[in-house]
Amino acid sequence: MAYLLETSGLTKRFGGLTAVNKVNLSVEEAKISALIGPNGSGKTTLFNLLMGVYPPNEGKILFRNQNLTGLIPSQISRRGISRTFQNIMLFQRLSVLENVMVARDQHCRSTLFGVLLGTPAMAREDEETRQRAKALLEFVGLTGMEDQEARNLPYGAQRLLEVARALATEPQLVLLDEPAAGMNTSETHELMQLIVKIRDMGRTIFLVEHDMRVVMGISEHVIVLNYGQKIAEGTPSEIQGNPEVIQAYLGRGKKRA
Amino acid sequence: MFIQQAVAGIAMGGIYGLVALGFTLIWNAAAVVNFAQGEFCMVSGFLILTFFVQWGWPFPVAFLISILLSGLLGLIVERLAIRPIRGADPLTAIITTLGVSIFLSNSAKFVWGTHPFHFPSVFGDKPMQLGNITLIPQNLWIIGIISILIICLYLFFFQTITGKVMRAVAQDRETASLMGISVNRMIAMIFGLSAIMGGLAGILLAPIIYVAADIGLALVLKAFIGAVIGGFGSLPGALIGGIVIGVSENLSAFYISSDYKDVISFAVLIGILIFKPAGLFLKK
Amino acid sequence: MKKAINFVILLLVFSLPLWLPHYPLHLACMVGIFVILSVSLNILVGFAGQISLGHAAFFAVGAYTSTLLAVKFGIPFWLGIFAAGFVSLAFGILLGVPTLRVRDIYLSVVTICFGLIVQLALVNLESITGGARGIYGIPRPSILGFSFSTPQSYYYLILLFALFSIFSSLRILRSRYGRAFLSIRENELAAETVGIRTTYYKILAFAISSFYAGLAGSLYAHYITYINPDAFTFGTSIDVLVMIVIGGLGNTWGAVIGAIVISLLPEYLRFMQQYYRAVFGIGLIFMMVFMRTGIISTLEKIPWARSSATRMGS
Repeated sequence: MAYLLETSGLTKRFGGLTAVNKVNLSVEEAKISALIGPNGSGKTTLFNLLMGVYPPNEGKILFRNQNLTGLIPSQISRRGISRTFQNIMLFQRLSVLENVMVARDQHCRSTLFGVLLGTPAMAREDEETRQRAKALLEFVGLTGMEDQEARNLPYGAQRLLEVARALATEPQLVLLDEPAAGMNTSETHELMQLIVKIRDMGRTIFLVEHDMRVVMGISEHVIVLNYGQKIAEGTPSEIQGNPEVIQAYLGRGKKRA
Repeated sequence: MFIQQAVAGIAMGGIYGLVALGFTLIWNAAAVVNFAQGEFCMVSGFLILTFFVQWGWPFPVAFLISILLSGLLGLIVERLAIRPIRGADPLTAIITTLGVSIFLSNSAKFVWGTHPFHFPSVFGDKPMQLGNITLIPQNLWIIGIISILIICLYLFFFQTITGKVMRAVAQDRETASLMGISVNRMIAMIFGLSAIMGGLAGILLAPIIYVAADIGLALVLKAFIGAVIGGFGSLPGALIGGIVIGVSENLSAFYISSDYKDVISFAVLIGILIFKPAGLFLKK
Repeated sequence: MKKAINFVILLLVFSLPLWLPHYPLHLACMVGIFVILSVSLNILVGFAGQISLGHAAFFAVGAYTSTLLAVKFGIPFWLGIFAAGFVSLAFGILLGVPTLRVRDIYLSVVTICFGLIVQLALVNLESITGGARGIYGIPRPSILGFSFSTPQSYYYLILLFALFSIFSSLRILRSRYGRAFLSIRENELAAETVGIRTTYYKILAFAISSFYAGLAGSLYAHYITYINPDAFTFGTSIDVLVMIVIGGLGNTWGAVIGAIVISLLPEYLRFMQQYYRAVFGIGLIFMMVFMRTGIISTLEKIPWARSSATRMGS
């Protein structure tokens, strides 16, 4: 089995609170894996660690056998990991198209002089960036709103735009942080289809979700966190029946019906 | 000599700390960096100059009226310039308070003129001997007055209802308003209080340096530096930071160079923010 | 219709020296210099979102560099101006690198202090800078025997550089650089996450904006033929910031309009000479309360005034 991503002993402390506690996990290539757990179990912190938002206190992150520990997000993005955010972090005043085009930057070669001189090579690259961005918007199902400001989009569309932007960097691993949050049933269904489509293109998905429809519906591997520690992992059906998992969720509020 | 300079530094630093306190109060309550804080000092300096020196009022009367008028100025500034922009982005708030600062300092210029005024020392500027240490009474008075003020402030904030309400607003505006507290009134009062503290600082400052229309900017920058040193947002930190700036400024002016003392303070700030972007002490 | 207006404006701008009387032409020259300053600051503040209140420092560095090269070493203007640009650029990087992790309010104060330090240095390093007295006798540039000794000829020189800065700004905005800058302004963490090297771009923004400010400084010095630290105060930095905000932050043409308005305002308000600056202060408050987004977006609300220049990304 090819493990695309592995963490060993990953730990993050904030003052007296240990948000992520010696987590060892692995994510298989070209599969959809899910990270679940009650609120406050450290899922988003883990994602932040994977993305280099802050360094871990202990532990290692291996991606394609490269050590990513301690790198900053832009470096991690360039190594092939992408991420969407739980709270939408779009470039609010940029257009939908520009949001995606920005994410193509690491694949651009134009120099400042090329830009000032207006060379044909630069013009070509700009056009290519534009076309690729459009194609990505189509892929996620957002057409006809390229020039609208991102902040004017309806909520569901904003979430899709986040996904399109994340795909624009051509990642091998896509981290989706609660992509279905706030979506209604039909939006969630479309999102699930989209995620499967992305997986079928050969990308690896690692998602955090509370919505069990999404988790049970499309994930192939589930990892469960509680109080910053991994308490279980397995297939969705294995997890469903796991007494420790049930215990962790019991009394924390119902799972979304 | 060192002790004398140090004490002078503490007095000056106390004044900076006072300005920094007012400034921090406003930051905590309204999330605004009040670039006009220095002007509150400047205005009260001119007011007491007019009342006490030019019109010959008795000092306590002139003092009281100047302080009260400073507070009034704070209320006016808050109502007209700050409240309308509540919640705006940092750049807007910066330009607004800069606008207030520019307005006040230039208004002072055409009311009182551009040249600096000397202010007589009310507390005595002749050195006196204490054993083999030479001290200037003025500095001791300043330290004394500020200490009393700090105690009063502490009592106010921790023992009175209004003070506690103010602290609530400073900590969490939304929740405070949900609890039925009139946030608008509290912020206005905080501005008034800050202006009064600035006014007091200006009066204490007047005999040490001079009264002039353009002292505001340097004051507010040093207050900012002090606040950062003590941990931006912390009230005791602001006071301590101000004292640190005062002492280091005095000592570096005396031992290194007086021309560059401002440069040194500014460079210190830049250095701190570069290495510890959250300030020296990690306070909230 | 729009093209006709643009053509008329262009014609006016290019023909100014032919019919404008002496003093207004001088004003036009100063406006041109401030256009370069405001367009350059707009790249740093408007595009990349870095609050900088010390722009006068780069203006000063450019002016003094070019002046010293010309007056003390006889270096011709054409080399001097580019040297000025690059020395300012170095100063820009000097400010930009250490402040990478500094944000918002803190950054604004650091930049204020930076500007004040530079000004204090100019006043105190008398042997180099002539101190508070300044430096006289800066030569007007000449090329192949022709000397730009008249305001008319100098105007075209300034116009050339002003157009160059506007053109660069527009080009940059429409490119990957512009998009990268804007993304940093909008959400720095998200920009990092999609692979934007925010460190590089932030320093680049400082470098570009200070380069142009340096050019402006050189143009200023060789135009007025005399400089002293009074031209490079915190007030100057505020003026330039106000120029870009009043026009519409992030908009190149907004910066141009702002430069024109703020430069000419003191002239139109001559009658309130003494009170001008105090009124300016009130004007700032007023502008932030009622017209925060600037002239251009207020114009957006008037249908006939809308043009491609008003669109966010242009």
